[in-house]
Amino acid sequence: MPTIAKHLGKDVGYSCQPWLAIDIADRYFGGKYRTWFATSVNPQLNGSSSNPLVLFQELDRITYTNDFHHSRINQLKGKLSHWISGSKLTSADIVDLLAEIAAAPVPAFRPRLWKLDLRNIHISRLIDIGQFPDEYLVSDLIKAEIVELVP
Amino acid sequence: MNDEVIHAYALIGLRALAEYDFNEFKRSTDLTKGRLDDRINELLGQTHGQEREDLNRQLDQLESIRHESENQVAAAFLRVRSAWRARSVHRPLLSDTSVRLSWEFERAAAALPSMLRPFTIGHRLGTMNICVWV
Repeated sequence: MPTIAKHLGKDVGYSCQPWLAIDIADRYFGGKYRTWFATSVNPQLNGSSSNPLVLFQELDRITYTNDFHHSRINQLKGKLSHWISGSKLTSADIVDLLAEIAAAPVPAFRPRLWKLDLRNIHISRLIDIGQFPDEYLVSDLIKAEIVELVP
Repeated sequence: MNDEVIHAYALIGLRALAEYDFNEFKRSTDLTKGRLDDRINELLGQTHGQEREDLNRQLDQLESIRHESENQVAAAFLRVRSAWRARSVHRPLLSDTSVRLSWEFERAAAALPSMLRPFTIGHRLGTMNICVWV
């Protein structure tokens, strides 16, 4: 099978996801996650929002200090809201989720560090974002393809 | 304000993102710009009166994003995005027994990601009205 691992020459990918994104995917998208990943846990040339290790450290500190006004929280709320807005959910579900995201407290953004097994993911599921050198996207990742390094 | 109207505002915000930051748009959705336009028009067709006028005004802002220079694009994006965020954020508070408050756009812009803030410095983006339940 032509896999992402073969095409990228890497067996694993890494990602950092806020708890709220995972919870929404579990409740509304049948446990399919729209997930960005890098092939290194600390890709030096990626922006901080696309560096799993840096993002984990940042969110861990933000949630520990309950830093409600941190720009990263607002950025994540924006990203989650855009994801929901562009989904195939009904208007009622979208509006409910937008309100939930807007009202979400800082601890809802506690980070989860993931390792992805790229050896069993077909290459057709890969979306190349193209902004940073080591950033890719899979729109329908499932739990069996994920190992939670830091749950 | 019904769910379809708020949904339409959210999609216009997403459409603005497609003009402002296409990479972020690709991260957010598998929809194409054309499909998104179709969905917005579909929802627009379900609205009437003042709500429809307000939505059309937001679409006009979207047009300005397409045609203006870089800093103006950022300002226009902030205006569109602020409008729909204000509606989604305050949706649980909306009520007929409401008071109208004026809210500086800068306050909404201050809540946006830091990468967008430099574009707002020195710009007075105007004011908007929101309804707050008391």
